[in-house]
Amino acid sequence: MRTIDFVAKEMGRRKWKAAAGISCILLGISIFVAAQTTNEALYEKAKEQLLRFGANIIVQPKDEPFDAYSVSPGGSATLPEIYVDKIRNIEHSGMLVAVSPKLYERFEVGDVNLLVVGVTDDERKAKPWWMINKMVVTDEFPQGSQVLLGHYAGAHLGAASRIKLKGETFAVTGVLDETGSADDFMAFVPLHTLQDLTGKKRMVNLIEVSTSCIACPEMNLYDFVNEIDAALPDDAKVIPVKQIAEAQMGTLTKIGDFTRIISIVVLFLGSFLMMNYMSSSVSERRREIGILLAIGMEASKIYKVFISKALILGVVGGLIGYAVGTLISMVAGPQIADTPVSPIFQLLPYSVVISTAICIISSILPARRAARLDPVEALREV
Amino acid sequence: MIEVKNITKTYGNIEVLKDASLEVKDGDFVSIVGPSGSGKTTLLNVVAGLLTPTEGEVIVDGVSLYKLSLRERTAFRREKFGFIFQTFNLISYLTAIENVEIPLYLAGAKSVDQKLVAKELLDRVGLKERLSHLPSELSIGEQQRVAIARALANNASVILADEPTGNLDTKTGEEFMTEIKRLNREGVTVLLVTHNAEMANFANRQIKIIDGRLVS
Repeated sequence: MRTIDFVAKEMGRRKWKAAAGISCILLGISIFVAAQTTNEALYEKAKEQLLRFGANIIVQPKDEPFDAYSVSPGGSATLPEIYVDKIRNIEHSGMLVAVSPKLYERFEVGDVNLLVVGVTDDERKAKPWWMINKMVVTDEFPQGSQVLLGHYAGAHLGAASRIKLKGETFAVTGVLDETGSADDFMAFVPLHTLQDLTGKKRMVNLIEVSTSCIACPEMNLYDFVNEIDAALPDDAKVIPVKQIAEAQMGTLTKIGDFTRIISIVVLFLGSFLMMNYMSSSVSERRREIGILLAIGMEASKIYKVFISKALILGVVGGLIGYAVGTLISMVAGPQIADTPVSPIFQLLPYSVVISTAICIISSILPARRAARLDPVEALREV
Repeated sequence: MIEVKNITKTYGNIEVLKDASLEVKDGDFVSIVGPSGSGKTTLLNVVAGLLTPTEGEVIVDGVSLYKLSLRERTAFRREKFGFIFQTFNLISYLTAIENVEIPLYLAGAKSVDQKLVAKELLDRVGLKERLSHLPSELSIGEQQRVAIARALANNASVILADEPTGNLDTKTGEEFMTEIKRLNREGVTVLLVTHNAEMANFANRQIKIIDGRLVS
Protein backbone atom coordinates (compact mmCIF):
# COMPACT_ATOMS: atom_id res chain seq x y z
CA MET A 1 0.00 0.00 0.00
CA ARG A 2 1.13 3.50 -0.84
CA THR A 3 -0.39 6.82 0.24
CA ILE A 4 -2.19 7.13 -3.07
CA ASP A 5 -3.63 3.59 -2.71
CA PHE A 6 -4.70 4.40 0.82
CA VAL A 7 -6.55 7.51 -0.39
CA ALA A 8 -7.94 5.84 -3.52
CA LYS A 9 -9.33 2.94 -1.46
CA GLU A 10 -11.01 5.33 0.94
CA MET A 11 -12.59 7.25 -1.94
CA GLY A 12 -13.43 4.14 -3.93
CA ARG A 13 -15.17 2.40 -1.05
CA ARG A 14 -16.99 5.53 0.11
CA LYS A 15 -18.16 6.57 -3.31
CA TRP A 16 -20.98 8.85 -2.18
CA LYS A 17 -18.70 10.77 0.12
CA ALA A 18 -16.12 11.13 -2.66
CA ALA A 19 -18.88 12.25 -5.04
CA ALA A 20 -19.96 14.87 -2.49
CA GLY A 21 -16.37 16.15 -2.36
CA ILE A 22 -16.09 16.28 -6.13
CA SER A 23 -19.42 18.06 -6.44
CA CYS A 24 -18.16 20.85 -4.13
CA ILE A 25 -15.37 21.81 -6.50
CA LEU A 26 -17.25 20.79 -9.64
CA LEU A 27 -19.89 23.42 -8.88
CA GLY A 28 -17.34 26.22 -8.85
CA ILE A 29 -15.33 25.02 -11.83
CA SER A 30 -18.34 24.31 -14.06
CA ILE A 31 -19.79 27.79 -13.44
CA PHE A 32 -16.36 29.28 -14.04
CA VAL A 33 -16.02 27.43 -17.36
CA ALA A 34 -19.61 28.17 -18.39
CA ALA A 35 -19.13 31.88 -17.60
CA GLN A 36 -15.84 32.08 -19.49
CA THR A 37 -17.15 30.15 -22.50
CA THR A 38 -20.39 32.14 -22.71
CA ASN A 39 -18.45 35.36 -22.18
CA GLU A 40 -16.22 34.52 -25.12
CA ALA A 41 -19.29 34.04 -27.33
CA LEU A 42 -20.85 37.24 -25.96
CA TYR A 43 -17.59 39.08 -26.57
CA GLU A 44 -17.45 37.92 -30.18
CA LYS A 45 -21.05 38.82 -30.76
CA ALA A 46 -20.71 42.20 -29.06
CA LYS A 47 -17.60 42.90 -31.11
CA GLU A 48 -19.42 42.05 -34.29
CA GLN A 49 -22.33 44.26 -33.33
CA LEU A 50 -20.13 47.11 -32.15
CA LEU A 51 -18.33 47.14 -35.48
CA ARG A 52 -21.60 48.28 -36.93
CA PHE A 53 -21.03 51.68 -35.41
CA GLY A 54 -18.63 52.21 -38.28
CA ALA A 55 -14.96 52.64 -38.82
CA ASN A 56 -12.92 53.08 -35.71
CA ILE A 57 -9.83 54.67 -37.37
CA ILE A 58 -9.72 57.43 -40.01
CA VAL A 59 -6.69 58.29 -42.13
CA GLN A 60 -6.76 61.73 -43.73
CA PRO A 61 -4.37 64.34 -45.14
CA LYS A 62 -2.33 65.85 -42.36
CA ASP A 63 -2.81 69.60 -42.59
CA GLU A 64 -6.27 69.91 -43.97
CA PRO A 65 -9.07 68.50 -41.88
CA PHE A 66 -11.55 66.89 -44.20
CA ASP A 67 -15.20 67.76 -43.94
CA ALA A 68 -17.34 65.73 -46.29
CA TYR A 69 -20.22 68.21 -46.13
CA SER A 70 -18.30 71.17 -47.47
CA VAL A 71 -16.61 69.34 -50.31
CA SER A 72 -16.45 71.50 -53.42
CA PRO A 73 -15.30 70.21 -56.82
CA GLY A 74 -11.56 70.12 -57.01
CA GLY A 75 -11.24 71.49 -53.45
CA SER A 76 -10.14 69.19 -50.66
CA ALA A 77 -6.73 67.74 -50.05
CA THR A 78 -6.06 64.15 -51.05
CA LEU A 79 -3.84 61.17 -50.23
CA PRO A 80 -2.37 58.62 -52.64
CA GLU A 81 -4.54 55.52 -52.96
CA ILE A 82 -1.39 53.39 -52.51
CA TYR A 83 -1.64 54.13 -48.76
CA VAL A 84 -4.45 51.57 -48.69
CA ASP A 85 -1.93 48.85 -49.55
CA LYS A 86 0.49 50.13 -46.90
CA ILE A 87 -2.25 49.84 -44.29
CA ARG A 88 -3.15 46.34 -45.50
CA ASN A 89 0.48 45.29 -45.01
CA ILE A 90 0.88 46.26 -41.34
CA GLU A 91 1.99 43.50 -38.94
CA HIS A 92 -1.48 42.87 -37.50
CA SER A 93 -3.33 43.22 -40.81
CA GLY A 94 -5.19 39.98 -40.06
CA MET A 95 -7.24 41.89 -37.53
CA LEU A 96 -8.42 44.49 -40.08
CA VAL A 97 -12.01 44.00 -41.18
CA ALA A 98 -12.06 46.69 -43.84
CA VAL A 99 -9.80 49.36 -45.29
CA SER A 100 -12.14 51.59 -47.21
CA PRO A 101 -10.72 54.49 -49.25
CA LYS A 102 -13.10 57.29 -50.23
CA LEU A 103 -13.16 60.10 -52.71
CA TYR A 104 -15.89 62.74 -52.37
CA GLU A 105 -17.23 65.01 -55.13
CA ARG A 106 -20.33 67.18 -55.37
CA PHE A 107 -22.43 67.15 -58.57
CA GLU A 108 -25.55 69.02 -59.65
CA VAL A 109 -28.12 66.46 -60.68
CA GLY A 110 -31.22 68.31 -61.82
CA ASP A 111 -32.02 70.57 -58.90
CA VAL A 112 -30.24 68.36 -56.40
CA ASN A 113 -26.72 69.05 -55.18
CA LEU A 114 -25.57 65.46 -54.73
CA LEU A 115 -22.55 64.35 -52.74
CA VAL A 116 -21.09 61.38 -54.63
CA VAL A 117 -18.66 59.04 -52.92
CA GLY A 118 -16.22 56.80 -54.71
CA VAL A 119 -15.88 53.54 -52.78
CA THR A 120 -14.35 50.10 -53.14
CA ASP A 121 -15.77 46.72 -52.24
CA ASP A 122 -14.42 47.17 -48.66
CA GLU A 123 -17.20 49.68 -48.02
CA ARG A 124 -19.61 46.77 -48.07
CA LYS A 125 -17.51 44.86 -45.49
CA ALA A 126 -17.33 47.95 -43.28
CA LYS A 127 -21.09 48.46 -43.49
CA PRO A 128 -22.78 45.10 -43.23
CA TRP A 129 -25.98 46.90 -42.23
CA TRP A 130 -26.48 48.36 -45.74
CA MET A 131 -29.75 46.88 -46.97
CA ILE A 132 -32.05 47.24 -49.91
CA ASN A 133 -35.61 46.19 -49.07
CA LYS A 134 -34.22 44.54 -45.93
CA MET A 135 -31.85 42.37 -47.96
CA VAL A 136 -28.07 42.66 -47.70
CA VAL A 137 -26.54 44.55 -50.62
CA THR A 138 -24.97 42.10 -53.07
CA ASP A 139 -25.34 42.58 -56.85
CA GLU A 140 -26.54 46.13 -56.30
CA PHE A 141 -23.07 47.25 -55.22
CA PRO A 142 -21.98 49.56 -58.05
CA GLN A 143 -19.53 48.45 -60.72
CA GLY A 144 -18.22 50.50 -63.69
CA SER A 145 -20.83 53.15 -64.53
CA GLN A 146 -23.33 52.24 -61.87
CA VAL A 147 -24.51 54.23 -58.88
CA LEU A 148 -26.09 53.19 -55.59
CA LEU A 149 -28.24 55.87 -53.96
CA GLY A 150 -28.65 56.65 -50.28
CA HIS A 151 -32.22 56.59 -48.95
CA TYR A 152 -33.03 60.33 -49.14
CA ALA A 153 -30.84 60.91 -52.21
CA GLY A 154 -33.00 58.29 -53.97
CA ALA A 155 -36.18 59.97 -52.69
CA HIS A 156 -35.05 63.37 -54.04
CA LEU A 157 -34.22 61.95 -57.44
CA GLY A 158 -37.58 60.21 -57.77
CA ALA A 159 -37.69 56.82 -59.39
CA ALA A 160 -34.89 57.62 -61.84
CA SER A 161 -33.22 54.52 -63.24
CA ARG A 162 -30.33 56.54 -64.60
CA ILE A 163 -28.60 59.76 -63.59
CA LYS A 164 -26.02 61.89 -65.30
CA LEU A 165 -22.84 62.94 -63.55
CA LYS A 166 -20.62 65.40 -65.43
CA GLY A 167 -22.29 64.34 -68.64
CA GLU A 168 -21.76 60.64 -68.10
CA THR A 169 -24.73 58.34 -67.57
CA PHE A 170 -24.85 56.07 -64.52
CA ALA A 171 -27.35 53.25 -64.07
CA VAL A 172 -29.02 53.26 -60.63
CA THR A 173 -28.60 49.80 -59.12
CA GLY A 174 -30.76 50.48 -56.09
CA VAL A 175 -31.75 52.78 -53.24
CA LEU A 176 -30.50 51.89 -49.76
CA ASP A 177 -32.91 51.46 -46.87
CA GLU A 178 -32.72 54.28 -44.34
CA THR A 179 -29.56 53.99 -42.21
CA GLY A 180 -30.00 57.06 -40.01
CA SER A 181 -26.51 58.21 -41.03
CA ALA A 182 -25.00 60.66 -43.53
CA ASP A 183 -25.03 57.79 -46.04
CA ASP A 184 -28.76 58.48 -46.56
CA PHE A 185 -27.94 61.72 -48.42
CA MET A 186 -25.11 60.39 -50.62
CA ALA A 187 -24.65 58.42 -53.82
CA PHE A 188 -22.02 55.73 -54.20
CA VAL A 189 -20.00 54.90 -57.30
CA PRO A 190 -16.87 52.80 -57.81
CA LEU A 191 -13.77 54.66 -56.62
CA HIS A 192 -11.87 54.32 -59.87
CA THR A 193 -14.85 55.55 -61.90
CA LEU A 194 -15.03 58.71 -59.76
CA GLN A 195 -11.26 59.17 -59.93
CA ASP A 196 -11.45 59.06 -63.76
CA LEU A 197 -14.44 61.38 -63.82
CA THR A 198 -12.80 63.99 -61.61
CA GLY A 199 -9.26 63.61 -62.90
CA LYS A 200 -7.99 62.62 -59.43
CA LYS A 201 -6.20 59.51 -60.59
CA ARG A 202 -5.27 57.15 -57.74
CA MET A 203 -6.13 59.77 -55.13
CA VAL A 204 -8.54 59.58 -52.19
CA ASN A 205 -9.84 62.05 -49.60
CA LEU A 206 -9.74 59.68 -46.67
CA ILE A 207 -9.39 56.06 -45.70
CA GLU A 208 -11.68 54.48 -43.12
CA VAL A 209 -10.27 51.51 -41.24
CA SER A 210 -12.33 48.97 -39.26
CA THR A 211 -10.52 46.62 -36.91
CA SER A 212 -11.94 43.48 -35.36
CA CYS A 213 -9.79 43.81 -32.29
CA ILE A 214 -10.75 46.77 -30.19
CA ALA A 215 -9.83 45.57 -26.74
CA CYS A 216 -7.97 42.35 -27.35
CA PRO A 217 -5.33 41.39 -24.78
CA GLU A 218 -2.53 41.75 -27.35
CA MET A 219 -3.77 44.78 -29.32
CA ASN A 220 -6.13 47.63 -28.59
CA LEU A 221 -7.32 50.34 -30.93
CA TYR A 222 -4.51 52.72 -30.04
CA ASP A 223 -1.92 50.08 -30.89
CA PHE A 224 -3.47 49.85 -34.36
CA VAL A 225 -3.33 53.66 -34.71
CA ASN A 226 0.37 53.60 -33.88
CA GLU A 227 1.08 50.73 -36.25
CA ILE A 228 -0.73 52.39 -39.17
CA ASP A 229 0.92 55.73 -38.38
CA ALA A 230 4.34 54.09 -38.55
CA ALA A 231 3.51 52.51 -41.91
CA LEU A 232 2.44 55.75 -43.60
CA PRO A 233 4.46 58.80 -44.69
CA ASP A 234 4.19 62.08 -42.78
CA ASP A 235 1.50 63.62 -44.97
CA ALA A 236 -1.14 61.28 -43.48
CA LYS A 237 -2.78 61.69 -40.12
CA VAL A 238 -4.21 58.65 -38.32
CA ILE A 239 -7.10 59.42 -35.99
CA PRO A 240 -8.90 56.98 -33.69
CA VAL A 241 -12.59 57.68 -33.54
CA LYS A 242 -12.46 58.21 -29.82
CA GLN A 243 -16.11 58.17 -28.87
CA ILE A 244 -16.71 54.94 -30.72
CA ALA A 245 -13.48 53.42 -29.52
CA GLU A 246 -14.11 54.30 -25.92
CA ALA A 247 -17.69 53.05 -26.04
CA GLN A 248 -16.58 49.84 -27.70
CA MET A 249 -13.69 49.26 -25.33
CA GLY A 250 -15.85 50.18 -22.35
CA THR A 251 -18.61 47.75 -23.27
CA LEU A 252 -16.23 44.89 -23.97
CA THR A 253 -14.26 45.58 -20.82
CA LYS A 254 -17.47 45.60 -18.76
CA ILE A 255 -18.49 42.20 -20.13
CA GLY A 256 -15.04 40.86 -19.22
CA ASP A 257 -15.14 42.44 -15.73
CA PHE A 258 -18.58 40.99 -15.04
CA THR A 259 -17.40 37.50 -15.97
CA ARG A 260 -14.28 37.88 -13.86
CA ILE A 261 -16.34 38.90 -10.83
CA ILE A 262 -18.72 35.94 -11.30
CA SER A 263 -15.74 33.60 -11.70
CA ILE A 264 -14.00 34.87 -8.57
CA VAL A 265 -17.21 34.63 -6.51
CA VAL A 266 -17.99 31.05 -7.60
CA LEU A 267 -14.40 29.93 -7.13
CA PHE A 268 -14.46 31.37 -3.60
CA LEU A 269 -17.72 29.57 -3.02
CA GLY A 270 -16.14 26.36 -4.33
CA SER A 271 -13.17 26.70 -2.01
CA PHE A 272 -15.46 27.43 0.95
CA LEU A 273 -17.50 24.29 0.18
CA MET A 274 -14.32 22.27 -0.21
CA MET A 275 -12.95 23.49 3.11
CA ASN A 276 -16.24 22.56 4.76
CA TYR A 277 -16.17 19.13 3.15
CA MET A 278 -12.61 18.48 4.27
CA SER A 279 -13.34 19.73 7.80
CA SER A 280 -16.36 17.48 8.15
CA SER A 281 -14.27 14.64 6.73
CA VAL A 282 -11.74 15.19 9.56
CA SER A 283 -14.55 15.27 12.15
CA GLU A 284 -16.12 12.06 10.83
CA ARG A 285 -12.78 10.27 10.75
CA ARG A 286 -11.53 11.31 14.20
CA ARG A 287 -11.47 7.77 15.58
CA GLU A 288 -9.79 6.41 12.46
CA ILE A 289 -7.18 9.18 12.60
CA GLY A 290 -6.73 8.42 16.31
CA ILE A 291 -6.02 4.74 15.55
CA LEU A 292 -3.56 5.70 12.81
CA LEU A 293 -1.75 8.18 15.06
CA ALA A 294 -1.62 5.60 17.86
CA ILE A 295 -0.10 2.93 15.64
CA GLY A 296 2.56 5.31 14.44
CA MET A 297 1.36 7.55 11.65
CA GLU A 298 3.39 10.74 11.63
CA ALA A 299 1.84 14.19 11.19
CA SER A 300 3.63 14.58 7.85
CA LYS A 301 1.91 11.45 6.56
CA ILE A 302 -1.49 12.73 7.69
CA TYR A 303 -0.83 15.87 5.63
CA LYS A 304 0.23 13.69 2.73
CA VAL A 305 -2.99 11.66 2.92
CA PHE A 306 -5.24 14.74 2.99
CA ILE A 307 -3.30 16.62 0.31
CA SER A 308 -3.31 13.53 -1.94
CA LYS A 309 -7.05 13.30 -1.52
CA ALA A 310 -7.35 17.01 -2.39
CA LEU A 311 -5.19 16.39 -5.46
CA ILE A 312 -7.44 13.58 -6.70
CA LEU A 313 -10.60 15.60 -5.99
CA GLY A 314 -9.06 18.61 -7.72
CA VAL A 315 -8.02 16.79 -10.89
CA VAL A 316 -11.27 14.84 -11.22
CA GLY A 317 -13.36 17.90 -10.25
CA GLY A 318 -11.45 20.04 -12.77
CA LEU A 319 -11.95 17.57 -15.63
CA ILE A 320 -15.64 16.94 -14.93
CA GLY A 321 -16.20 20.63 -14.11
CA TYR A 322 -14.76 21.60 -17.50
CA ALA A 323 -17.02 19.11 -19.29
CA VAL A 324 -20.14 20.15 -17.35
CA GLY A 325 -19.39 23.87 -17.69
CA THR A 326 -18.82 23.55 -21.44
CA LEU A 327 -22.05 21.58 -21.78
CA ILE A 328 -23.99 24.18 -19.78
CA SER A 329 -22.61 27.01 -21.89
CA MET A 330 -23.36 25.18 -25.15
CA VAL A 331 -26.95 24.50 -24.09
CA ALA A 332 -27.76 27.68 -22.17
CA GLY A 333 -25.30 30.03 -23.92
CA PRO A 334 -27.29 30.40 -27.15
CA GLN A 335 -30.37 31.38 -25.09
CA ILE A 336 -28.38 34.05 -23.24
CA ALA A 337 -26.00 35.26 -25.91
CA ASP A 338 -28.25 34.54 -28.90
CA THR A 339 -25.22 33.15 -30.67
CA PRO A 340 -23.69 29.67 -31.01
CA VAL A 341 -21.22 28.84 -28.23
CA SER A 342 -18.14 26.72 -28.98
CA PRO A 343 -15.98 24.86 -26.42
CA ILE A 344 -12.75 26.60 -25.43
CA PHE A 345 -10.21 23.78 -25.16
CA GLN A 346 -7.56 26.11 -23.71
CA LEU A 347 -9.73 26.34 -20.57
CA LEU A 348 -9.22 22.64 -19.79
CA PRO A 349 -5.71 22.92 -18.29
CA TYR A 350 -6.73 26.10 -16.45
CA SER A 351 -9.78 24.30 -14.98
CA VAL A 352 -7.65 21.41 -13.71
CA VAL A 353 -4.93 23.66 -12.28
CA ILE A 354 -7.39 26.08 -10.60
CA SER A 355 -9.50 23.21 -9.25
CA THR A 356 -6.46 21.39 -7.87
CA ALA A 357 -5.03 24.55 -6.32
CA ILE A 358 -8.36 25.36 -4.64
CA CYS A 359 -8.70 21.81 -3.29
CA ILE A 360 -5.15 21.76 -1.92
CA ILE A 361 -5.34 25.22 -0.35
CA SER A 362 -8.75 24.45 1.17
CA SER A 363 -7.41 21.22 2.66
CA ILE A 364 -4.39 22.65 4.44
CA LEU A 365 -6.26 23.81 7.57
CA PRO A 366 -8.39 20.64 7.94
CA ALA A 367 -5.25 18.52 7.40
CA ARG A 368 -3.47 20.51 10.08
CA ARG A 369 -6.37 19.90 12.43
CA ALA A 370 -6.16 16.17 11.70
CA ALA A 371 -2.40 16.08 12.20
CA ARG A 372 -2.73 17.85 15.56
CA LEU A 373 -5.48 15.56 16.79
CA ASP A 374 -4.86 14.05 20.21
CA PRO A 375 -5.02 10.27 19.63
CA VAL A 376 -6.09 9.63 23.24
CA GLU A 377 -9.06 11.99 22.85
CA ALA A 378 -9.95 10.58 19.44
CA LEU A 379 -9.78 6.95 20.64
CA ARG A 380 -12.14 7.73 23.49
CA GLU A 381 -14.90 8.44 20.94
CA VAL A 382 -16.74 5.34 19.83
CA MET B 1 11.82 -4.08 29.61
CA ILE B 2 9.20 -1.47 30.52
CA GLU B 3 9.81 0.59 33.64
CA VAL B 4 7.06 2.87 34.86
CA LYS B 5 8.50 5.16 37.51
CA ASN B 6 6.34 7.18 39.89
CA ILE B 7 3.80 8.26 37.31
CA THR B 8 1.23 10.85 38.28
CA LYS B 9 -1.32 12.18 35.82
CA THR B 10 -3.69 14.97 36.74
CA TYR B 11 -6.46 16.68 34.82
CA GLY B 12 -7.01 19.97 36.59
CA ASN B 13 -7.54 19.04 40.21
CA ILE B 14 -8.32 15.41 39.47
CA GLU B 15 -5.47 12.91 39.97
CA VAL B 16 -6.15 10.01 37.62
CA LEU B 17 -2.86 8.21 38.31
CA LYS B 18 -1.14 8.51 41.66
CA ASP B 19 2.56 7.72 41.92
CA ALA B 20 2.21 4.56 39.86
CA SER B 21 5.30 2.39 39.43
CA LEU B 22 5.56 -0.87 37.53
CA GLU B 23 8.12 -3.10 35.87
CA VAL B 24 7.32 -5.45 32.97
CA LYS B 25 10.16 -7.73 31.99
CA ASP B 26 10.68 -8.90 28.41
CA GLY B 27 8.41 -11.85 27.60
CA ASP B 28 6.16 -11.18 30.60
CA PHE B 29 2.34 -11.10 30.42
CA VAL B 30 0.89 -8.60 32.85
CA SER B 31 -2.75 -7.70 33.27
CA ILE B 32 -3.91 -4.52 34.91
CA VAL B 33 -7.32 -5.05 36.42
CA GLY B 34 -9.68 -2.46 37.77
CA PRO B 35 -13.16 -1.07 37.56
CA SER B 36 -14.24 1.60 35.08
CA GLY B 37 -12.64 4.97 35.80
CA SER B 38 -9.83 3.50 37.89
CA GLY B 39 -7.15 4.88 35.55
CA LYS B 40 -6.09 1.69 33.77
CA THR B 41 -6.52 3.03 30.20
CA THR B 42 -4.71 6.22 31.22
CA LEU B 43 -1.82 4.09 32.49
CA LEU B 44 -1.73 2.13 29.23
CA ASN B 45 -1.73 5.38 27.18
CA VAL B 46 1.13 6.73 29.30
CA VAL B 47 3.12 3.50 28.79
CA ALA B 48 2.38 3.69 25.03
CA GLY B 49 3.86 7.16 24.77
CA LEU B 50 0.49 8.64 23.84
CA LEU B 51 -0.14 10.66 27.00
CA THR B 52 2.50 12.77 28.68
CA PRO B 53 2.44 12.20 32.47
CA THR B 54 2.33 15.11 34.88
CA GLU B 55 5.15 13.55 36.85
CA GLY B 56 7.35 10.48 36.54
CA GLU B 57 9.05 8.63 33.76
CA VAL B 58 8.48 5.69 31.39
CA ILE B 59 11.58 3.82 30.24
CA VAL B 60 11.32 1.21 27.50
CA ASP B 61 14.46 -0.80 26.71
CA GLY B 62 16.54 1.93 28.30
CA VAL B 63 14.89 4.79 26.39
CA SER B 64 13.00 7.43 28.40
CA LEU B 65 9.90 7.86 26.25
CA TYR B 66 8.98 11.40 27.17
CA LYS B 67 12.49 12.71 26.63
CA LEU B 68 12.06 11.90 22.94
CA SER B 69 10.58 14.44 20.51
CA LEU B 70 7.02 13.77 19.34
CA ARG B 71 8.31 12.50 16.03
CA GLU B 72 10.90 10.21 17.63
CA ARG B 73 8.29 8.91 20.06
CA THR B 74 5.89 8.14 17.19
CA ALA B 75 8.60 6.20 15.37
CA PHE B 76 9.58 4.40 18.59
CA ARG B 77 5.96 3.44 19.24
CA ARG B 78 5.59 2.16 15.68
CA GLU B 79 8.63 -0.11 16.02
CA LYS B 80 8.16 -1.39 19.58
CA PHE B 81 4.44 -1.58 20.24
CA GLY B 82 1.46 -3.29 18.73
CA PHE B 83 -1.97 -1.97 19.72
CA ILE B 84 -5.26 -3.74 20.19
CA PHE B 85 -8.19 -1.58 21.21
CA GLN B 86 -11.63 -2.55 22.40
CA THR B 87 -13.56 -2.61 19.11
CA PHE B 88 -13.97 -0.42 16.05
CA ASN B 89 -10.31 -1.14 15.92
CA LEU B 90 -9.96 -1.45 12.18
CA ILE B 91 -10.16 1.03 9.33
CA SER B 92 -13.64 0.40 7.97
CA TYR B 93 -12.90 0.92 4.27
CA LEU B 94 -9.82 -1.30 4.18
CA THR B 95 -9.94 -5.08 3.84
CA ALA B 96 -8.42 -7.40 6.45
CA ILE B 97 -5.12 -7.68 4.58
CA GLU B 98 -4.99 -3.91 3.94
CA ASN B 99 -5.57 -3.20 7.64
CA VAL B 100 -2.61 -5.42 8.51
CA GLU B 101 -0.51 -3.67 5.87
CA ILE B 102 -0.94 -0.26 7.53
CA PRO B 103 1.88 -0.47 10.14
CA LEU B 104 4.19 -1.76 7.39
CA TYR B 105 3.14 1.08 5.10
CA LEU B 106 3.78 3.55 7.94
CA ALA B 107 7.22 2.04 8.48
CA GLY B 108 8.00 2.51 4.77
CA ALA B 109 8.04 -1.17 3.70
CA LYS B 110 7.69 -1.99 0.00
CA SER B 111 4.18 -2.83 -1.26
CA VAL B 112 5.18 -6.39 -2.16
CA ASP B 113 6.67 -7.03 1.28
CA GLN B 114 3.63 -5.50 2.98
CA LYS B 115 1.37 -7.98 1.18
CA LEU B 116 3.59 -10.97 1.97
CA VAL B 117 3.92 -10.22 5.68
CA ALA B 118 0.22 -9.31 6.09
CA LYS B 119 -0.84 -12.53 4.39
CA GLU B 120 1.42 -14.61 6.58
CA LEU B 121 0.18 -12.92 9.77
CA LEU B 122 -3.49 -13.39 8.87
CA ASP B 123 -2.72 -17.02 8.13
CA ARG B 124 -1.13 -17.23 11.59
CA VAL B 125 -4.32 -15.97 13.29
CA GLY B 126 -6.49 -18.31 11.19
CA LEU B 127 -7.92 -15.80 8.75
CA LYS B 128 -6.33 -17.10 5.58
CA GLU B 129 -9.72 -17.25 3.85
CA ARG B 130 -10.83 -13.76 4.90
CA LEU B 131 -8.06 -11.61 3.44
CA SER B 132 -10.27 -9.55 1.14
CA HIS B 133 -13.15 -9.03 3.52
CA LEU B 134 -14.02 -5.61 4.87
CA PRO B 135 -14.40 -5.32 8.68
CA SER B 136 -18.19 -5.10 8.23
CA GLU B 137 -18.07 -8.56 6.63
CA LEU B 138 -16.17 -10.09 9.57
CA SER B 139 -17.45 -11.15 13.00
CA ILE B 140 -16.23 -9.13 16.00
CA GLY B 141 -13.99 -12.03 16.99
CA GLU B 142 -12.47 -12.11 13.51
CA GLN B 143 -12.00 -8.35 13.59
CA GLN B 144 -10.04 -8.68 16.85
CA ARG B 145 -7.86 -11.37 15.27
CA VAL B 146 -7.13 -8.99 12.39
CA ALA B 147 -6.18 -6.45 15.08
CA ILE B 148 -3.74 -9.00 16.56
CA ALA B 149 -2.19 -9.56 13.15
CA ARG B 150 -1.91 -5.79 12.68
CA ALA B 151 -0.30 -5.42 16.12
CA LEU B 152 2.37 -7.93 15.13
CA ALA B 153 3.02 -6.51 11.67
CA ASN B 154 6.14 -4.54 12.53
CA ASN B 155 7.62 -7.36 14.61
CA ALA B 156 6.43 -5.55 17.70
CA SER B 157 8.05 -6.89 20.89
CA VAL B 158 5.24 -5.53 23.10
CA ILE B 159 1.48 -5.81 22.66
CA LEU B 160 -0.60 -3.22 24.46
CA ALA B 161 -4.22 -4.32 24.67
CA ASP B 162 -7.01 -2.11 26.01
CA GLU B 163 -10.13 -4.12 26.92
CA PRO B 164 -9.70 -6.28 23.80
CA THR B 165 -12.45 -8.68 24.85
CA GLY B 166 -14.85 -6.00 26.03
CA ASN B 167 -17.26 -6.61 23.17
CA LEU B 168 -16.71 -10.33 22.72
CA ASP B 169 -18.85 -13.11 24.15
CA THR B 170 -17.14 -15.38 26.71
CA LYS B 171 -16.23 -18.13 24.24
CA THR B 172 -14.81 -15.74 21.62
CA GLY B 173 -13.08 -13.79 24.39
CA GLU B 174 -11.36 -16.94 25.61
CA GLU B 175 -10.30 -17.89 22.08
CA PHE B 176 -8.87 -14.43 21.70
CA MET B 177 -6.97 -14.66 24.98
CA THR B 178 -5.66 -18.10 24.05
CA GLU B 179 -4.22 -16.56 20.90
CA ILE B 180 -2.60 -13.76 22.94
CA LYS B 181 -1.22 -16.31 25.40
CA ARG B 182 0.25 -18.30 22.52
CA LEU B 183 2.01 -15.17 21.23
CA ASN B 184 3.31 -14.48 24.73
CA ARG B 185 4.80 -17.99 24.84
CA GLU B 186 6.53 -17.16 21.55
CA GLY B 187 8.26 -14.27 23.33
CA VAL B 188 5.98 -11.27 22.87
CA THR B 189 5.56 -9.10 25.98
CA VAL B 190 1.89 -8.38 26.73
CA LEU B 191 0.40 -5.61 28.82
CA LEU B 192 -3.35 -6.10 29.08
CA VAL B 193 -5.88 -3.74 30.57
CA THR B 194 -9.21 -5.31 31.53
CA HIS B 195 -11.99 -5.21 34.06
CA ASN B 196 -12.75 -8.90 33.42
CA ALA B 197 -11.16 -11.15 36.05
CA GLU B 198 -11.44 -14.30 33.90
CA MET B 199 -9.52 -12.72 31.04
CA ALA B 200 -6.97 -11.32 33.48
CA ASN B 201 -6.26 -14.89 34.62
CA PHE B 202 -4.54 -15.59 31.30
CA ALA B 203 -1.71 -13.29 32.43
CA ASN B 204 1.35 -14.41 34.37
CA ARG B 205 0.92 -11.53 36.73
CA GLN B 206 -2.05 -9.39 37.74
CA ILE B 207 -1.86 -5.88 39.07
CA LYS B 208 -4.90 -4.15 40.51
CA ILE B 209 -5.57 -0.47 40.03
CA ILE B 210 -7.94 1.31 42.36
CA ASP B 211 -8.54 5.05 42.13
CA GLY B 212 -5.33 5.55 40.21
CA ARG B 213 -3.12 3.60 42.64
CA LEU B 214 -1.45 0.32 41.65
CA VAL B 215 -2.00 -2.47 44.15
CA SER B 216 -0.13 -5.72 43.60
